[in-house]
Amino acid sequence: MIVLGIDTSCDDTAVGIVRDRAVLSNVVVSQAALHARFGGVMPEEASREHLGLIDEVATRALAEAGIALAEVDAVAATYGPGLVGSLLVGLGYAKGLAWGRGLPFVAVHHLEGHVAASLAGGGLEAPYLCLVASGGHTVLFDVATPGDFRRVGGSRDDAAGEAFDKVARLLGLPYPGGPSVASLAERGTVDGVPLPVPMRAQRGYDFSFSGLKTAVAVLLERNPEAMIADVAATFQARVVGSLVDVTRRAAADIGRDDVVVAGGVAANRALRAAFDETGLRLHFPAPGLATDNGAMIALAAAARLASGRVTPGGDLGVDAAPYQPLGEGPSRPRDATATATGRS
Amino acid sequence: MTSDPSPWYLGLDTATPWLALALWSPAGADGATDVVHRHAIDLGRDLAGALMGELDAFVRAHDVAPEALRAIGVGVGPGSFTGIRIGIAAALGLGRGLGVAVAGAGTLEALALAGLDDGEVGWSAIDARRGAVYAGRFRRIGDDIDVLEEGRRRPRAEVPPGARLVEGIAPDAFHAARAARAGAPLLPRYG
Repeated sequence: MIVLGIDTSCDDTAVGIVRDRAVLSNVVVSQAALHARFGGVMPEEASREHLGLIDEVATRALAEAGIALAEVDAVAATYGPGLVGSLLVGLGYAKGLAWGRGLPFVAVHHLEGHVAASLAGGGLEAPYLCLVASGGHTVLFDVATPGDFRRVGGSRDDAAGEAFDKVARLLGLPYPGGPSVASLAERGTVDGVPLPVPMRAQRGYDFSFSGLKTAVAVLLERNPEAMIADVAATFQARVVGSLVDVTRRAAADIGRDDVVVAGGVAANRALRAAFDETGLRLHFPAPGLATDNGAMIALAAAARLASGRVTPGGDLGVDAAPYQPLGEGPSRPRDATATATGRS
Repeated sequence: MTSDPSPWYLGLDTATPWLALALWSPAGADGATDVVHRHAIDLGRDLAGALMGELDAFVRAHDVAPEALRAIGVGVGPGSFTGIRIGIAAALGLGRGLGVAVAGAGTLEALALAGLDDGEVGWSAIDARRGAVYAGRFRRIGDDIDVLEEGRRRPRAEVPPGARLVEGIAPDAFHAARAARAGAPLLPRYG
């Protein structure tokens, strides 16, 4: 089954094509340069950019996959969470495309896409524990049966990737902050500066990074001579330590041997190295699938279609849901029966 | 669904709280008569979720096969930024899916077409918040709309008191359907 998947949840216009679990193409046009001068994503600009790019990116994804539109069996798009103006562009385009071709449309939760990216090509089936850590999300899920996501913990404030972005700005490093902080950290010494360990005494499975970010700000203010490489190394070690420790404890308590690590922060080498020492069976996203992309949405949809976990009549009636938690299903318009039907 | 050999043009406009749809089959050289179907519904915040269902039901109700659609026209505003983007995104997807061109059409002109009589001159306006409106002055001649004063954001007070004013009704998506047939460029002027 060939699925075209679209993600426009934030600042990347992304379309990917998959055949079952194999990625045929994955085109991501980043708006990072546009937003870099603001130090973060400007929602209005992002939406406008998506609208100007979406058709071209979809066309490129088909060309790179060597697939004609007529060969596509289903269309999928992220419905949430994300920036509503951005979500609406990819979702609206995908629904129009599906209706125009008379194809099934599958609305996919962004985080389910990230998880699917880590399952690409492999044979892992539930149960497993899943950590999603990106610029917008840091959440821990237990997946007991396929598609059944139970949230066991998550960040109480900033997402891990967001903390990297904010600390990068404090250190005068470019956006996005993940790669720039990680690169600087390689030249620094962990514990070369004093920074707190987040949520050291908790019994649950939550994360908190805003206190750590504030500690970096205070440290730089009080000690302008601090080696910023040491700050980067220590900050990264605290974030990685928190993510790995909480995930390991949750896996032990719940009794899971397999852990899926998804989201852009999964590309962080220090995080991978720390997870490697836990003895857990780890499943990281395939190269190119860690950060936001369309192929992961197509993979999630392909898995849903293969197992029959889809809405009868399709998801054409699904609205964008900017704050939708995973596991609570797509939001639907009031008259779902009248609008959820696909084209006959 | 029965297949209809005659060509159809689809117009949609989502720049106001209304979803306005039109299907147009122009009079042909074969003597077929000009047929226009219209549908408008005030969806407000339900637009994104309900759009495709409304479109599907509208097209089916008039027995038009999607494959009979030859071009798509879409309202490019002015109006709600979100509404305009929902409409253009859907139109781009429809155009790619159906393999047809997508044309842009002004929403103030579509509003003038909805409200003015043949030969009449008047303003059409869409609320732009904070005491402002998007407004322009137009003359309707047949189904054509002549622009007498370009539509733009302006203080409401700039619309002369007592002038003929079209506001608060659904734009006529037939205007977008005609733009589709004319092959007008898609220039998102607003939003």
